[in-house]
Amino acid sequence: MADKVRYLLPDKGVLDSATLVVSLVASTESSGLPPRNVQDEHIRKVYRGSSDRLSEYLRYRFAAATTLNTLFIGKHNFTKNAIVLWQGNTTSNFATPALSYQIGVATDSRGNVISHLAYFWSTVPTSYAHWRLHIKDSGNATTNLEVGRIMGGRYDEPTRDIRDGFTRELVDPSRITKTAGQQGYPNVKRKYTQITYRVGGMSELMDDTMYGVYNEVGTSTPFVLALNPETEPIKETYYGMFEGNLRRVHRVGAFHDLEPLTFSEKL
Amino acid sequence: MAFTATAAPGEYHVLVEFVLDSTTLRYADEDLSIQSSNTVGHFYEGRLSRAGTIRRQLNSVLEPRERIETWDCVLDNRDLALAQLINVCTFANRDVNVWLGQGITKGSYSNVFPAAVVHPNGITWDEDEAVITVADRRLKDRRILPLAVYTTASFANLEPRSVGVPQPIWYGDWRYNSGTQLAIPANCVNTLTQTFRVAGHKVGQIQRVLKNAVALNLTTQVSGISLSTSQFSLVGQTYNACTDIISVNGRGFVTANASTIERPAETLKHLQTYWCGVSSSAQNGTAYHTVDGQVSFSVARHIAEQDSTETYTGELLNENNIDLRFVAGQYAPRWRILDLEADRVDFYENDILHDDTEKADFRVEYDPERYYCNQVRARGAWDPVDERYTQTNTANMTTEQRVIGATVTREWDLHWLYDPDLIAERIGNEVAMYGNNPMTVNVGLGGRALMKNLADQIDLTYSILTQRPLSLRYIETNLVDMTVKTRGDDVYYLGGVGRWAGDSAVSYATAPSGDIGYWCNSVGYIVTGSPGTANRSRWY
Repeated sequence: MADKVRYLLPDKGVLDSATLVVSLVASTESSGLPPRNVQDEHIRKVYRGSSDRLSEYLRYRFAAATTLNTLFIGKHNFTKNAIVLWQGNTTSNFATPALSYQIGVATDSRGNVISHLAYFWSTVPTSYAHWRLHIKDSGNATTNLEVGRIMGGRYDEPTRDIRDGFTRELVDPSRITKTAGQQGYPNVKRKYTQITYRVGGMSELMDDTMYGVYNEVGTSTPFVLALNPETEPIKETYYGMFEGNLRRVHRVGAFHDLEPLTFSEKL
Repeated sequence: MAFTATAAPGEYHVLVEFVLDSTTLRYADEDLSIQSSNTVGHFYEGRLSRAGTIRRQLNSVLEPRERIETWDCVLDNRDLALAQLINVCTFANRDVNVWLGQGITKGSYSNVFPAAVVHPNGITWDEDEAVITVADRRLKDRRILPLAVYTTASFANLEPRSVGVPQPIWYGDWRYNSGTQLAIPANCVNTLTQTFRVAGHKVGQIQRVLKNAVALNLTTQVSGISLSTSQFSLVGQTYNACTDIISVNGRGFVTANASTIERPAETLKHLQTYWCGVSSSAQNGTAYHTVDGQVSFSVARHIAEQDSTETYTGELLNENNIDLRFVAGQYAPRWRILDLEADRVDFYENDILHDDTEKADFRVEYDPERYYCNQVRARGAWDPVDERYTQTNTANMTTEQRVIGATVTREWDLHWLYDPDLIAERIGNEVAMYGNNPMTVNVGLGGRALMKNLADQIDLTYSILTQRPLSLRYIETNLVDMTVKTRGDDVYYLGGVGRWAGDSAVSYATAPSGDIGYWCNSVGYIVTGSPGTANRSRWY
C-alpha cells in the first residue's frame, strides 16, 4: 500500500481549464445552474439537471486528447445506489465508450452518503479528447441531480510518506439557542473537517515540497487533498484550502520542523 | 408553499436579492444553489458575512403605524467584486428582497423584508466589506399632501389670496342634512368669470353652493358645475374676496358605483393608491376587506394643510383602532380586537430562550409608553369654513380616578371622525382600554416565532401568565441564531375584557363595532351559536 498523500493542485487540473476544454455540455440543465458551474471553485455552486435522473451526463470536449489520473466530484446529491461512470472516447458519441470506469458512491458507517466522490488511477489511462460523467440514479427521490465542483487532472505525490502528523477534526458549526431544561432550537450547519499538519525533521526536499504547494495555492485557492488515496479514496479525500501561514523552524543538520498548518474542508 | 416555522432543527438561511436594472444579485449567509422549480435555479453567493438582525416595530398603540426600518446588508468584498458592481450598476432605490427559510428550495422561504436601497448615503465599502443600507420599501410610498397648489400659471385669473394655497383633498360626506353637515370652502380660480374650485380632484357631488352660509339657487345663481374639475361659477353675484366666503355641500371621492368613499378601510386604500401610487398588488385585498366589514362607520376629512401621508393615514388608523402592517410586501390593515382564541398560537416555557444561567429572556413592564389615562377629552368634526372643531366630548372612568386619586387626562383631536355618537363611543372605548395599568411583555422566542408578524396575537403561558393574549408590537429577528425577540402588549386588558356592561348597553347584535364587555354563555358565545361571537368576551 502506498502510504503517501496525494494532492491535485489547480495548475495540474484539466477539467476546469479554459484553454484545454473546448466545450462542456449536459444532458439537461436548470436555468441559472448551468454545467459550467462544475468548473467554479465554489463547491456549492452546482450544476443541476432539470429532469433526467435516469440518465444524466456532463460531457467534456478537449482541443486534443488529454490524460488525467485523478477525479474529484464535489457536492453531489446521488444516492448510494447511483451508477456513476467516468467515460473516455475518441468521439462525442458515447454509445459504446472506449473507456468506462464505474465509481461507487461511498457511505459512512451509518449508511449516509458522503457528498463527494474521488478516484485515483494508479496508471495513467489512455488519452481521449472526449470525457463524460454519466449518472444513472433512478432511485433518487429528487428529480434534479446536481454536482458541484469537479476537479480532474494529474495528482502530485511526495516521495516521502507524509501521512504521519495529520490531525483531523470534525467541526459542527451548528448554533443552538437554549430554552428551559437545556432544550433548544438548532440552526443546523454542515459539519466539515479541519486538518492540521505538523511534522518534525523534514528534509530540504520535503521543505521544498511544502513551500511549493503553499506558494501555489496560498490561503486563497482550493485544492484536493487525499490522505489515503488508495485505501480510502473518498472518505479521506477533501476539497478545501489552507488557513494561516506556512511556518517552518530550522533545525541542525538541514532539517526543518513544520509548525501546525491548517487545511479546512469546503463542502 | 412558503416557509413554515416549526420547532424542528433545520438548516435555516437568509437570502438577499438586489433587483437591479439589468441583473439580479443574489446573496446568502453561505453558498447556496437554490431551486426555484424543476427547471430554474440560482446560485446565492455566501457573502453575507454578518447577517445581523432585522427589526420591525409598530409605533405605540396611540399611533399605530409600522415604523420604517433600515437594515445594513454587510457583504464580503475581499475580492472587490462588490466594489466593481457598485461602480458599474445603479443600486439607488432598487428593490431588495430578504427571504428567510430553510433548505435549498425557494418555496421553503418567505419574504420577510421587502426593501429598497437607501439613496443617498446608502452604500459604503472597504477592502473587507461592502455595506448596503436598505430601508423598508414603504419609504417610497410617502407623499406630501395635497400634492398641488393653486398658481397663476394654472389659473391666470386666480384670486391673490389663493396663490400658493394647496388644492384641497376632500373625503367623505359633507352634504346638507347628511354626513358632517358642514360646508367646504371654495377658492376663486377665475375672478373674471367668478369660477370657484373646491378640490384638486374630481368630486362625487356638489349638492349646494353657499355664499356666506346662505344657499344659492343652483339653477339661477350657479352655472357650470363640473364634478370632474370640482368647479362651478356664480351667476349674477357679487364676490368680494375680503368679505365673502363661498362654500359647498357635497361628497368627496366616490367609487365607480358613485357611492361615497367614507369607510376607514376604503379611505385608507384610496389614500394609498390614488395619492401615493401604491399598486393594488401591494395591498392585501383580503385584509382591507376584512377591516372594511369590521369598521363600517363613516369618516370625512378636508385636507387643506400640506403634511405627510404618514400623518394623515396615522390619524385615520388611530381614530379607528386599526393597525397597518406590511406583510410579505403588502400593506395589511388589521382591526385591533382580541382574536378568536383558536386563531392565537400558544407559546410555552419551552419556546422561551434562556441564558447560560437558565434565566429566561422574559421581562414584564407596566405601561412603558405611558398611555394610561382615566379621562379622555376629545374634539372632533372640524369645520373648515369657520376653522374650529364643532364637537367636544369627555369620557371618564370614575372608578379609576377614585382608585389612583387623580384624573389623568388625554387630550385628543379627532380629524376623521365627525359623528357625535361615534366620537363618544370611540373615546369611551379609549378610556376603557387605557384606564388600566397595561402590561407589556418582552420575551425571546425560538424558531416557532420566526414567521410571526406585527400585530399578530399570541397566547403566552409562562410564570404567572396563563394563555395571556399578547399583540406583538416589536419583532427582532436574529438571522444568525434564527431566534426572535418580541415585545407584546397585553390585549387582555387593552380589549377591555372582563368589564361590566352598563344596564343600558345595547345588545351585541346591534352594538357598534368596538363595544366590549358582554356576557357569554358557558361555552364562550355572546350570542348562542353565533361563531363570530365566540371568545369575544372573557371572564376572569
